[in-house]
Amino acid sequence: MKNRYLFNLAALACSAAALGSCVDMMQEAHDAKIVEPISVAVQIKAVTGFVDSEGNGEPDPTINTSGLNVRFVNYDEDFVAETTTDEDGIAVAEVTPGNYTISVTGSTETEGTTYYLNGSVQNKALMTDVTPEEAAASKDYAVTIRPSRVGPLCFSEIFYAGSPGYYFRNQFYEIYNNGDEVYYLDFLCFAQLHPERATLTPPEWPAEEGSNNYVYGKVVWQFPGTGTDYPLYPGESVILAQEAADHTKNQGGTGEYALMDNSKVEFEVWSGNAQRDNPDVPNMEYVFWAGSVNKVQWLTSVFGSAFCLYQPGMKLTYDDTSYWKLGETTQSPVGSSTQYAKIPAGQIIDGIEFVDNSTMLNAKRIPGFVDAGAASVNASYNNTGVTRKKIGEREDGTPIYQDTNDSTVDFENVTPPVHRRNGAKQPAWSWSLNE
Amino acid sequence: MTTYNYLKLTGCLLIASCVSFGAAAQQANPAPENADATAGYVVSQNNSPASIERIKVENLHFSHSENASSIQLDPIGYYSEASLGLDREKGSLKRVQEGADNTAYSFSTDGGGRLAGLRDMYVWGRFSYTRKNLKDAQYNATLFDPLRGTPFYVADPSKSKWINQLFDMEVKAASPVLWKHVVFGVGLNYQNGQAAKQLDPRPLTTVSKFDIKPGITVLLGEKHALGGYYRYYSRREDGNASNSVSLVYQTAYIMNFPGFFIANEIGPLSGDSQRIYNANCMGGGGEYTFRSDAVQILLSGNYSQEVEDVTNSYTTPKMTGTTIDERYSIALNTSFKLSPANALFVNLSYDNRSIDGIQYVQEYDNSFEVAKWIIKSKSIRSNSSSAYVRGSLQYMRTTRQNAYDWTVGVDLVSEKLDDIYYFPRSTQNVKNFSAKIFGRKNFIIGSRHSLLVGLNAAMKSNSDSAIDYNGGKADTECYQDFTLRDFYSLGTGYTAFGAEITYALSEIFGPRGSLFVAAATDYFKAKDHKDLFNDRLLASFKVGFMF
Repeated sequence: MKNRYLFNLAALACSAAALGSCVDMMQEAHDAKIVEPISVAVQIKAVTGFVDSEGNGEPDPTINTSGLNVRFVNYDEDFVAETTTDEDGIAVAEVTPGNYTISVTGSTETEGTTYYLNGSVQNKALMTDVTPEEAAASKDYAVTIRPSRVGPLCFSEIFYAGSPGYYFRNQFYEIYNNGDEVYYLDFLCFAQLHPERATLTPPEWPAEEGSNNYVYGKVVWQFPGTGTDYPLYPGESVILAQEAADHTKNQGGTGEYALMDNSKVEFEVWSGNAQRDNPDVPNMEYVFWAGSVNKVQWLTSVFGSAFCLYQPGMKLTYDDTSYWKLGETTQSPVGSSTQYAKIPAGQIIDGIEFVDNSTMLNAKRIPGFVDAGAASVNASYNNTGVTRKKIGEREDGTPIYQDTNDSTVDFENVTPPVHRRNGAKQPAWSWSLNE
Repeated sequence: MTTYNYLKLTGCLLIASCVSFGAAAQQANPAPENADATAGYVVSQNNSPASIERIKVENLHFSHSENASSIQLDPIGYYSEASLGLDREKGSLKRVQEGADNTAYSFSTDGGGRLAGLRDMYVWGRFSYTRKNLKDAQYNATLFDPLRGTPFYVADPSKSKWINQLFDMEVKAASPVLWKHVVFGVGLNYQNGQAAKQLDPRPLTTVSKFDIKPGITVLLGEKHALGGYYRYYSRREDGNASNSVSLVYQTAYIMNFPGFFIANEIGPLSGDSQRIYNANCMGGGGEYTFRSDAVQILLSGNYSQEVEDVTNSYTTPKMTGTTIDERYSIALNTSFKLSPANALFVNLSYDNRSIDGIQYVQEYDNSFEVAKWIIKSKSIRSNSSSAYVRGSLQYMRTTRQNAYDWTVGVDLVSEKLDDIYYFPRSTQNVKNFSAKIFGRKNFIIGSRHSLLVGLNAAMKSNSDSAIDYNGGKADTECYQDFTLRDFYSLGTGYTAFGAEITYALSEIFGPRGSLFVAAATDYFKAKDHKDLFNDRLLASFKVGFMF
């Protein structure tokens, strides 16, 4: 009998708890009100000097920030609001409360040189109205942009996702001279940036690094040469491959043959695996590798990594302790001892960031001055690459590509990827032309 | 877990099934004291489809009340039936998420009666098992029933086959009249189902629902009664779309509202493909009854509110939305016994449903101590509402013992659908009117054979429809092929014709046993948007026993 009472009491308690939980759930739902759009202002500040970790930097008064395109993107809802800055560099948009990535794109001409005025902030919580006056007075609603010179070089096509059956050895990277002057590739560095994969929790760097003054390389490759050995003329491109082989002869795990004959590319980014070396193809030299060198292969994430081209103006060497020094040319995230190459903003020529898919566009991990947006082929092992949108042609038929420093709009997905799309030319020094 | 669910199912199945058989044991019970043959009480005679239809039409509380206790007010006798069914439907006049070519197999049993051993306590039970094969259903990769009202789910554009199975069992019990004035009752309903999509991305969706409605009725003299009930139900649903061909990515859309979605890919290495639904509902209602020899009136009102949270993971749940589903209805159901051979039934009702869609602003706190999604704010982003005014009039010539000779009737429905997404403000509105006339004749052939033949004609007319979309997806496949096409389907008028025939052979397995075979068909022809919709053919076949 006693047990029966206990059982009844327990049943009653459980019922009461379930009912209480149900009532709580209903009350919480009723706390929600009908959404009211908010009017949010942000101020765009162009900074050429150091920006501290709090985002404080001295705006450069010579840089005109009016008329810049500002996009408020809520990736949780795939909502975009676009506007332009007024004469004070303030942009106002009507949005719903949420987390926004605010990206700024534009350019300006100074003394005959074109500069990009790009920047972005990620996952900015916009919950209430912000007036232009409040934006001007608070650094919380400022977007710092860093003018960067429009360089002739750009990534024109990248294939990172691999082929069906987990086949990933056919990755390649094409670098194109989109300008109107010859560019010497000698000393040019090609860096895979940290973190390797897009993440909502990017690493925290020491406060003295400031904000958006550097990007950090995981692996850095450098072109050979002594100064003028590797000219790249307008309309020419150079291709780097993970493994310079004819992958169309290889099958992935599904039995399907892979894409890409990479056996004739200009350089192989070879890290030391004798079984994977093509002796006909010159090897790029890695000059930095965070942690230990992966001598099996240099595989970048099939989910999408981030890359940049930068020009240090000198020959670099792996493990050169006189050059690679912590705090000067390398840096470690807070809580980690792994060092990454510290690449100054002023040396960057072009950059591109890839994310897993469109739902991860709020997981950008490199500064907006390198790439105001991000690209994605939305999947892995899908035979899909990205190519830059063609916007014109030179007299010799070579393409002119769109380059606004915002890969969200500059690139489109292509299946299959190809080398030297749209009639891009091969440099005369390419080994395969001189066999 | 699946095995456990089936064990639960089996237990409930047995209980529900036994109700009708238990009632069968009481079939010799005399009619209750308050029963009056002139008021419509049907004494135990041969059962037939027509007699059961008459039982359901005449007994207002049995058919129209949510309050189980008020069944005691009906002069309802014993009946019981069990049947096997086959349903087919085919044609393009349908909602986008419905299958184009569907087949359903079902087994159902249904019956009840008074238990003399329990002082005429009334017990009724129903059990059904349905297996549906849907073909070419689109824009659903999550839900057992994509039209049930939630705007939060994962959709895919593939034309897919689904196999849906549902066990549905219900019991109603009403106490004897206690202290000459009070009846207590309870209604229980348990549903358990599985839906399996047969094309990537393919979820195995499970759904279960437990619904309880305790009620009370107070008799105020011979002619008047007041009643009320409380309702609570809990529903769980879980669907996780994954790929069988694991290396191929599939296009999917994370839906927040029609026209407002996020394009997604579901594959081996990515994809936000799981949805977990947890709904609780509370409600209740009241009713007033008037009874006399010639007239029965039931005036009732019902209200319920369901709140459903939707998350996307068991381990690190992120709120993908919440719905507040509010429903109320008022109804007037009447029965007029014009003479022993003539009966008239008039039913009027108004139903209103409003679903608020709540979306969240969240941030993932990755600190070791927390490591979960934190809600920063929430707001109502959308509302879908519907309102129906229904009226029906049915005349029945009741000169075939406990069945009827013939019946004719008309059903009228006014439908108003309003959807709004608050920002960017987008609206969609549809107003329809539909009417149906029907007639059935019960031919008695000899002492044991009967043939019930029916015809009907119907029409639906759209009086107004407008869509004003201001989102950024107007040129996408998901908007054009799903949102817009579904909007057109809601406002498409039709004309329809139907026929039915039921043969019954009585006095088998004893004097009350009957065998019946039924076939029915309805054909709908679209009047609007003929470039998108053509027609729809429904056909059903049924064979069963009554005892």
